[in-house]
Formats: sequence, C-alpha cells, structure tokens
Amino acid sequence: MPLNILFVDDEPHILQGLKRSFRGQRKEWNMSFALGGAEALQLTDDMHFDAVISDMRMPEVDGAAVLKAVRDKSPDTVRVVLSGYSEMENEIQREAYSHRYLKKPCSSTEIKKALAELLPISDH
Amino acid sequence: MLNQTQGVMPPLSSAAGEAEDCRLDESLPPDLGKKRPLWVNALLTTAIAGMLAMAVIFWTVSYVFKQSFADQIIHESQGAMAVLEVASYYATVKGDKKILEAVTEALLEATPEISSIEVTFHDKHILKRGKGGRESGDAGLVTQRDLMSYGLPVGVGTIRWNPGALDQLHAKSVGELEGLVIALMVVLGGLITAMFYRLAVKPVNGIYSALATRSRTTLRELVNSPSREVSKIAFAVKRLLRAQDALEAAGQEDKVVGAMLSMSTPEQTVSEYLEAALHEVLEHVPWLGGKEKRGAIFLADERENLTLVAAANLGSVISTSCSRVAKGHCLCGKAVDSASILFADHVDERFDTRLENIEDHGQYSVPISKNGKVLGLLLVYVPLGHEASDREMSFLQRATAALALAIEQKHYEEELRSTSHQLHEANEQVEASHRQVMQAEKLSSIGQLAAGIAHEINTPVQFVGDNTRFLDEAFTDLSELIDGYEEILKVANTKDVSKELIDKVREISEEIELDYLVEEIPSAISQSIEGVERISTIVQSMKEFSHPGCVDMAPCDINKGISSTINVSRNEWKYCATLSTEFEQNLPLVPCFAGELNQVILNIIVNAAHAIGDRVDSDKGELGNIHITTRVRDEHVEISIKDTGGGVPEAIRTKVFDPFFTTKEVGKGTGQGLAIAHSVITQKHKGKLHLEVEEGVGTTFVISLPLAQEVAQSTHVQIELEPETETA
Repeated sequence: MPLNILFVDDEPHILQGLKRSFRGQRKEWNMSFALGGAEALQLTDDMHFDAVISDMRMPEVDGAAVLKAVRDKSPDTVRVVLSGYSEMENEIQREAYSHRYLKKPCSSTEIKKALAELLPISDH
Repeated sequence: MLNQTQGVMPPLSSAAGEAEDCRLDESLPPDLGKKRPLWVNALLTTAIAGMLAMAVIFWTVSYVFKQSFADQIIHESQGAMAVLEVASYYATVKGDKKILEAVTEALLEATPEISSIEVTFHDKHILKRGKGGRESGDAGLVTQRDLMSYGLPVGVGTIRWNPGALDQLHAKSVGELEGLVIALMVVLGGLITAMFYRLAVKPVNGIYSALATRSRTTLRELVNSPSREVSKIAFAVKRLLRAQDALEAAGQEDKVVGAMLSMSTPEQTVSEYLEAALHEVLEHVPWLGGKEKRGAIFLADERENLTLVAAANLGSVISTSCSRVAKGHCLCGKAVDSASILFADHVDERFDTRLENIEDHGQYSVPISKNGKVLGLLLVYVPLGHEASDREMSFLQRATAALALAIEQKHYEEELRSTSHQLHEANEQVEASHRQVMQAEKLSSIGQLAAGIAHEINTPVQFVGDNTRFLDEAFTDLSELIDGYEEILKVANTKDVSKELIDKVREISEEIELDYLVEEIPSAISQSIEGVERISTIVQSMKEFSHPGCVDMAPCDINKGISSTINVSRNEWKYCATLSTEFEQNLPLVPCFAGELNQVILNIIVNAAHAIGDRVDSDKGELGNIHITTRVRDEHVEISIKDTGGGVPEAIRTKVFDPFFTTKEVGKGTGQGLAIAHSVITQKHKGKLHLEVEEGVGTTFVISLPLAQEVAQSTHVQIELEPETETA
C-alpha cells in the first residue's frame, strides 16, 4: 500500500519541482500537494497522511500552524519541515511541530532518506 | 602711595596730547620775524619817556626863565630910563641935546634887544632913534616911563624891544643847559635799558633757551637770580621740565607696556612670549641703566616656587643658581611671599644666595600676580645705588600686570588648544562611531535581509534542482524509450516489425509516462530558466543595493535602485503586503550615494512592512499595500513611499527621526534606522525627508533629492576659471 505523502508550500514551482523529482516514487508514494497552509488544513481534514512535508513561512496559515494541526489531528503522521530559511528555527518549536528540519535546497534523495528513517518510527 | 602716583599718571592716550604740545612749541608764530626784540622795545620806551621828560623840563625851565628874563628886561629898562632921565635933564634944562642923542645911541649899541628908543618932551620935541629895519611900529615889548627933572615930568621915554628879544635871551641862557640835559638823558636812558636788559630781557631769554634746550645749568642760574619773579619763574619752569621728563618717561613706559600687551601671538609659547617681553622692557625703559641691561622672568608653580623662564645677560652662574627659587628665598622669593615689589640698591642681607664674582648691583623684584594669585616674577637689575621712585614702581606694576594678562592668556590659549584637540579627537571618535553605527546598521539590515534573501534564493534553487533531477531521470527514461524506437527503426525497413517489439516499446512508453514527460519537460525547463533568472535577479539586486565602495556622489538611476531594494526586501513584505510602483520613466540621473540612499528606502519599506504586518496579523488574511512613486518636481526628484500601516500616531510623529527612538520590541529595532535615514537625506544629500500621515490609513514618507548638488556647482566654477589660468 503506497504511503500518503503531503507536500505543502506557497510556491507552486516548488510543489511542481517536488512532484517531478519524486516521479520515481510514484509507485510507492501517493503524493498530494497543497498550495499554502489553508489548503493543507483542508486536505488533512479529508484524509490521513503518513507524512507531511511543509514549508514554514507562508502567508495566512504558516507551516507551524499546519504542523501543529497535523500533530493534533494525527499524531502518528511524520512531520517534516522543508524551509528556505537558513537560520535555525526555535529548538522547542522545532521539536514540538516537526520530526525533522530540512533546509532548502534539499535534494529528493535527502528527503527520501529522512522519510525512510522517520516512517518506521511512526509505524508503531 | 603708589596708587596715588598711578592716579596722576596720564593714561596711554596722553602721549599723543604731549606730542601735540611739542608741536605747538616747535611751530613759532609766523609773524615772529616782524616782532621787535624786547630790548628794542625797552629802548623805545625809555626814549619816549626821556623825550617826554625833556619836553616837560624844557617847558618848565623856559617858563621860569621867561619870567626872570622879563624881570631882567624891566630892570634893564629901569636902568636905561634912568640914563635917559639924566640925559633929558641936560636936554631940557641945559638945552644940550647931544648927550641925549649920544646916550640913546650908546644904549642901542649896548643892548641889541632894544629895537628903538623914543623920548617925547612936553614942548613937543620928539627924539626918536632905532636900529635899521627894526624900528617899525610892530614892536613886541614896550616899556614907557615919565622922565622927571627936579620932581617935575619933562617928557615920556619909550623903549621898544625886539620881538625875539626874550627868545634870544632864553636861547642864550638855556643853550648850555639843554646839551647837559640831553646828555644826561642819554646816559640815563642807556642805564635804564641796560638795567632792563639785565633784569628782564636776559632772564626771559634764559628761560626761553632753558625751555628750548632743557639746560639745567641755565635754570639753576636763573633760580639764583636776584629778581624774585625770575627766580620764581625759573623754578616753575624747572618743575615743568621735570614733569615733562616724567611724562615722556611715562609715555615711553606706556609704550613698553602697550607693546608687552600686544606682542603676544597665538603661535608663541609662554616662554617665547616672556623672552620677547623681557627684551622689550630692558631695551626700551631708559632708567634701567648700565651697558648690559639685565633681567629675568620667572613663572610660579602651584606652591609659588619660581622657575626661571626668560633671562637676559644674567650669566650662566646666576642663570643656573637661580633657575629655581623657593618662595621666601632671596629677594625674589621674599617678593613673592610678601606679594609686593621689593627694591634693593645693593646686594644686602635679604639676598640669601650670594655668588662670588658677581658685581654688586641694585634690583627690583616684582611679583606677577592676578587676583591675588602669584603667577611669576619680573626681575630687573638697576645700577648700584639707584634711587627707587614711585614712577618706576608704578611702571613695574603696570608691566607685571601686562605680563600677568599675557601669561593668563597663554594659559587659556593652551587650555583652548588642548580642549580643541580633545574636542577634535572626540569629534573623530564620534564620527568613527557614527561610521560604525552606519556600518552596523547596514550590516544588520543586510543580516536581516540575508535570511529573506536566502529564502528568495533557496526557493528557486530548490525547484531548479528538483526540475534538473527530474529532467535527468526523464532523459534516462526517454533514452530507454528512444532505444526501443531505435530498434523499431532498424527493422522498419524490413517491414518485419514484430508485435513483441512494438508492445515492448509501448510498454516502455507507458512505463515512463511519456505523455506526462512530454507535458512536464518543457514546463520543467522553462520553470528552471525562470528560477535561474530569479536567482540572477536577486544576486544582481543585492549587488546594486549594497553599492559597495561608493565614496563619492555619482549620478544614479533612482528607479533601478528602488527596484533592487524592492527585490532584496521582497521577503520582508511579501507575506503582509503587495508592492506597487509608479516610476517616472524619464527620470534624470540623480547625484547621490546610491548605497546609502537604497539603505534609506529599504528602511522605509521594512518599516512600512512591519506597520502593515502588525495590522494584517490582527485582521487575518488581508494584505496591505506599499506604493512607491518617483517623479520630478522643481529641480528635485521626489520619492514617496506610501503604506497602509495605519499611520504614525500624532504623539510620536516628531520623534520618529530621533536617534534611539523606537516603538519596536527590545531587540527588534535599534531606533537608528530613521535617524540615519534623516541624516543621510538631509546632510549627505542636502535633501528633505518628511512624512505625511493619514490617521488610521497609513503613512507616506517623502524623500526629496536635489537634482543639482554642490559638487556639480563647483565643477561649473572650475570650468569658468580655466580661461583665467590660461591667460595667467
């Protein structure tokens, strides 16, 4: 059964790029793409995701809000931050909202590797 | 005593008045040559008086003589009448008239004054005799008498006298007397003149020459003159001359004091000035006698101990032994201690340090003090046995007052110099720290931007990377498909294309999702190109924004600068606002410091974004707007940045440009941004920065930059000057 993975970003080019670069996973992953936090909240309401990979800084509903909502709704979902900011986010916030913090630019291999490491943890 | 003397001393300006008096003395009255000398006047006076005296004498004498001559004539007439009576007796009684005739003739002969004699008898006989030519009836003086004989009158005798008879008589008797009187008068007149000359003319001339030549000897003689008035005048003149000498000396001393006051220049050090002042005193004060005029000036320290600063002709021994003089030691130290002028006419017991081989001398030790504080001491040598005078003391007091002023001035100058040095240093520090603040502000804004810029760059890098990887994979997939097509091509000619091969290729095509690839590849390529362009733009904007190494003003494209600033700050505003621009397309180049101007615009944009951000957060979801316009207005370029951040509250509107004023949380704003912006615009660009507030709506910051800067004007002047330099 393919994994449900949700990508969240306010930049459509990023989502399209991710979609293209994970084309190789199309058999293992069932990928969803949310343009912005609001759309992500809607999608997470509708279905369960095994992993959510979200940008942090977005207008209106930001990444932190999305990840917080996901944590509340489905604690078993793996939460990964994929942020364009180079500075370190607040440690506690990071711990609270995400399991992994990835910085853009981040290759699909790295993301895959991170998810591979994280997904078994959330399996139990 | 000294104060009194000082009171009498004329002020500095009196020297001019004195000079004027001298000029009056020198310019004698123009008609002096026409004036008679005193002795001539004396002679004339004597002569006139003598002549008057003589006239009186002569008149008196002749009057007296005339009376006596008349008596004489009467007397003579009596005698003649008696003779005529006797002769008449003979003529009438004896009838002999010859005797009468003879007597008449004899009388005429003997007395020349008689002009005629007439005898008239009763018998009408008349005898008349007279001198030739004179017997006319105009006789001046006539004597007449009855001629008696035996007691009876026989006739009348008439004698007529010459009119000048009296005069002749007078002349005859006075002639000798006149000569005597004149001689007497001449002698007397001479004597009077001589006396007058000796007693009046000579002393007057003496006084004149004494005044003119200032001969003390002449005056001394005149004072001893026997005449009281001359003696008094001479004494007065002597005093006058002495006073004048004192005045002249005082004038000279005033000049010295004046020179001492005016000779100080800001370049001189204290000791240089004191050297010059000492030289001035010794050179120009006449009573500081001796061939080698000696003296020194000391400066006092806090404990009023003296240090030799300037010395003249003192010799190495004294200069060394007196290089430091303790308070109360020697005449100089004692003068400081008593804070008064000390004088010695020889080296006496007050001199604690006695040096061998130093010739005896007198000296004045004069403390230099101001407001009761001893600043130093003036030492001047005077000849042995010199008599001190109030005037000298007064001069020395004024000289030291001048020195005190100058020393104090020097102290102030030095203080001022050191203060100004400190000020200069402080100013440099302030400038340096200002530069540091500017740099720090720039760095902080760049640092602040860095995160945003990194995001702006990382985003395209992310998707360009993803797309490239996708294209890489897609190409691999397509290669597989192309291989399949190649195989089909190889066998296509044989028209023996197996179904398996076609199915295999179709399978590959489906496997690799060819439709998707065909659709996605161009999009991936174009998005990658766009991403690279975005990176390139932001890098270019960063370069343009920071404008490093721009020391001078240079003509800049303001629109481009603003665009760059918008690009680098995009991440600061894009989550809370849209940004629109309205640029004047034909905006001329504006002379400016591009880096700093961009900094200012960035600051205002970021402030606007923060202001909007505060409101948007609460409103949820809505975006504000930042609107930037540029336009030309009256030789200025106007940049206005309008936001919808609600406006600056009235109460803090005047403070927004103050340094360290901030409404942001601690750590979020330094309060330097707008202060620096204001300084950059008004001071560095000579422009204006102000804000317009629409309460509850937003704020518009308006920057106005002059199109022509002073730099441009000075270049213009230089160009104008060029022809001149060529002709020169």
